[in-house]
Amino acid sequence: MAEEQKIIINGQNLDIKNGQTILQVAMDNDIYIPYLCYYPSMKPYGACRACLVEVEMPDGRTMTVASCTTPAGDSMKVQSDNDSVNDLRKGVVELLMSEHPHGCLTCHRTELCGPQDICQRHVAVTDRCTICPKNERCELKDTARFVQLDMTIPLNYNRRDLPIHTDDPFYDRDYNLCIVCARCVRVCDEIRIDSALTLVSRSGVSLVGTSNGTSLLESGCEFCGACIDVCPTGALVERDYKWEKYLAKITNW
Amino acid sequence: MTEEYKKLESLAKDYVSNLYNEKIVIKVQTGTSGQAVGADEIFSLLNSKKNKNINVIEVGSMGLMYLEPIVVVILPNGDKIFYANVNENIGEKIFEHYSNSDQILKENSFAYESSRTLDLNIPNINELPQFSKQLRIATRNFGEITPGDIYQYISTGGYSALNKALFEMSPEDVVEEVKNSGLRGRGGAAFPTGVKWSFLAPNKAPVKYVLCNCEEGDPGAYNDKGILETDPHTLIEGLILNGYATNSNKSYVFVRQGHDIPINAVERAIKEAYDKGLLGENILGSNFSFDMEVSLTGDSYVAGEETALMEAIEGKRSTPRFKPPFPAASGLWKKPTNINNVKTISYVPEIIKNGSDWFKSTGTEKSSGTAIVCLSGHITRPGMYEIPMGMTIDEVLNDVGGGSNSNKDIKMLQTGGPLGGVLGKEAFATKIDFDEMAQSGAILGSGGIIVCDDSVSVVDLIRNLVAFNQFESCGKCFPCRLGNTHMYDVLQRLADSKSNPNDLQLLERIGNSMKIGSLCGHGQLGYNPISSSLKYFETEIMDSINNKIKPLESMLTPTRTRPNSTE
Repeated sequence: MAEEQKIIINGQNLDIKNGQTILQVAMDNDIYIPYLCYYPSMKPYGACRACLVEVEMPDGRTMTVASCTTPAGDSMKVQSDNDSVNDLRKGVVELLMSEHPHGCLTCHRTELCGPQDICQRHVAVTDRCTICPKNERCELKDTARFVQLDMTIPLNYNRRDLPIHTDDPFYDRDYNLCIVCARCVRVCDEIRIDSALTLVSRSGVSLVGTSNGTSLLESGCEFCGACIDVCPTGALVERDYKWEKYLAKITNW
Repeated sequence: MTEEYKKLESLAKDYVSNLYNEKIVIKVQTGTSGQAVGADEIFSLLNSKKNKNINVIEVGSMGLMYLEPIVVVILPNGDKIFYANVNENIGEKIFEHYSNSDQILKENSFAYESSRTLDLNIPNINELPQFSKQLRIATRNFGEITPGDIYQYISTGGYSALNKALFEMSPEDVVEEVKNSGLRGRGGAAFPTGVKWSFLAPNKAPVKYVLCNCEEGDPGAYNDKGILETDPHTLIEGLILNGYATNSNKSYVFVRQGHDIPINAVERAIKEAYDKGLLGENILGSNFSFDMEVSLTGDSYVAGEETALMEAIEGKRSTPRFKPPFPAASGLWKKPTNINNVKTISYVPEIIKNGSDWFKSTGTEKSSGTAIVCLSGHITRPGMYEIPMGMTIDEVLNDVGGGSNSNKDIKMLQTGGPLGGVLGKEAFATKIDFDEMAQSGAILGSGGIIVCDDSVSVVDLIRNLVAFNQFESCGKCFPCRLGNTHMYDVLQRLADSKSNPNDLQLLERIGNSMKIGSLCGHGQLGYNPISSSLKYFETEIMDSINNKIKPLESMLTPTRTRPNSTE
């Protein structure tokens, strides 16, 4: 057996288990590196770039890599929390937010808003987090808060204005909230071996969909719900459990 | 020399002497560029007339695309007369003239080639700067042989490098020879080819692949497809050598779907190579076997990225994979794989035939050999030219390209495809080699050079480049998908004279996210057009940012942005 390998993340000397990536080592040791496209138990994908970290290699080179796809190596020195990485990460999340409703996240009243307050002037209705079915259980919101999103230089906000798919049983699909992390596509493909979902088109208009744009019923979907479990945003939600956390919070379950 | 190769050589000799035997030979250059101006019609017209005195053969383009359709007449004594801008009438006239007379027809001719000096009022082709400045290695057969005709290729010394490698050299020798030649990848990254091969060669895996990348989506670059459609056997020979050197037995030539002329040429060439025993089991009687296949992409620029290309061959959506693992460890179908550009591979037969020292003697110290440049835009002589590395940009533009084609001066160049860079006048003294070009802010890349004169606004140029990159982004990683869209938004604001004061900082911020954060080269290099033009045209861009210019006209390059974007 090979000698035990150690990696240094943010100054901590940590064990590497067989074949782990930097992100996996960090997760095992309760170091939080934000991620949006990675999901434990699925293969890394390397698309969201929110998990960027700075790595000093044993040979002295320093580079910025995605921690979800880079295998942890002996004597690597990883920085997941310094100014340049944080700023880079913020830059990526800012870009992402330019097509996701985010009015509440950059509103100066965020801290003051209670769960049932009705906003009267600051944020347009369609841009509010409070009307999102996954409010307060949204990974994107957590990530945006972690990187302290403030839209340093405002970007054009392009709301997609797509129709919401409500024809299928059990789920609604609101691709206005999708961030195209492809978790749903991959869980369907890798874990469920069903391949009902796919990415369609490319570049600025790429999105999740079914092949030939059919409904889920026609796509071979088995309605197992795996895609809903992995969706980081409010794009995929079971119809019966929409706004679940929201209700739970009010009624103190 | 082995019996098999000797047999092929004598067959080739008979075949070719039959073509030329005491006849006047008319060669019609019917490459893609020729066909665009009717060369195929001229060929079929003349071909229907050929008789026992005059033979008509179809050849690929010689690279002088501004003169096409070109017809070359070879007299029985070996003299060649080149005719430019031929149409069907002139073609017929040329044919009739040489049927009835043994004098040389001067009309429409632009050059001749002969060992003697002919008194024709036209220059010898070797006196023309656009020809004499060239050094043809990979393009040595351009305009000489019929694409895909194996006997014509063998008669010019083709497949002798393969014969030499198989019977006189070990695979390690071949790798060593390529390493020693200093050949670097011509696809854009300029990685030493021999070193790349040496990653794959020692791998003991039972199945290994060598791939050839002819995706070539760069606007303004057409040299990969030029080689494929003009001299596909050079590529095939190089690929077999690549396979032999790395102990691989299977290869794919990856061409963008829809480019039928190169695809047909290479498919024909592969079939002929199989027929003659140069591909398949036990090549030339050795115990080395090698298979080759053509694989087509969909219509995607990013499919030219090496890992996206592998995904495409596997039949998936062509999006890049993350690295590591690198292709040499896990590539196509998770097998060790080597991938090279067409141009890189096409140098290999000549390197093996003439030795690495011969190849190293041309070019500069760190960039040996030649560069195949494609000139287009506001230039007098657009075309494909193979020039030795180390020539300055100025020489290429003025001596080879003939300078600006309008009464305005050349203002800037765009090199290395849309991810390359924009160069201003100050950079025209730069030598064309990988490192100097990189220092000046652009890249040599695929060799495409688009020339713009003073009438072109730099904002308009970079807006078009970014629009192209935006359109072609695969949409996988966030910085590239969204960053390109927003950069385009900002540039459109600049072009409309409606920019915000902090637009430059915004561009820089997005550019930085893309450069460091993106998954593959498409995003990482996406800011290059802007950063390099800021270096040379800062005042002009600042004028746009301060809204001091008139709004530009809307452009034709399509984008993939949503129509309902709001401010």
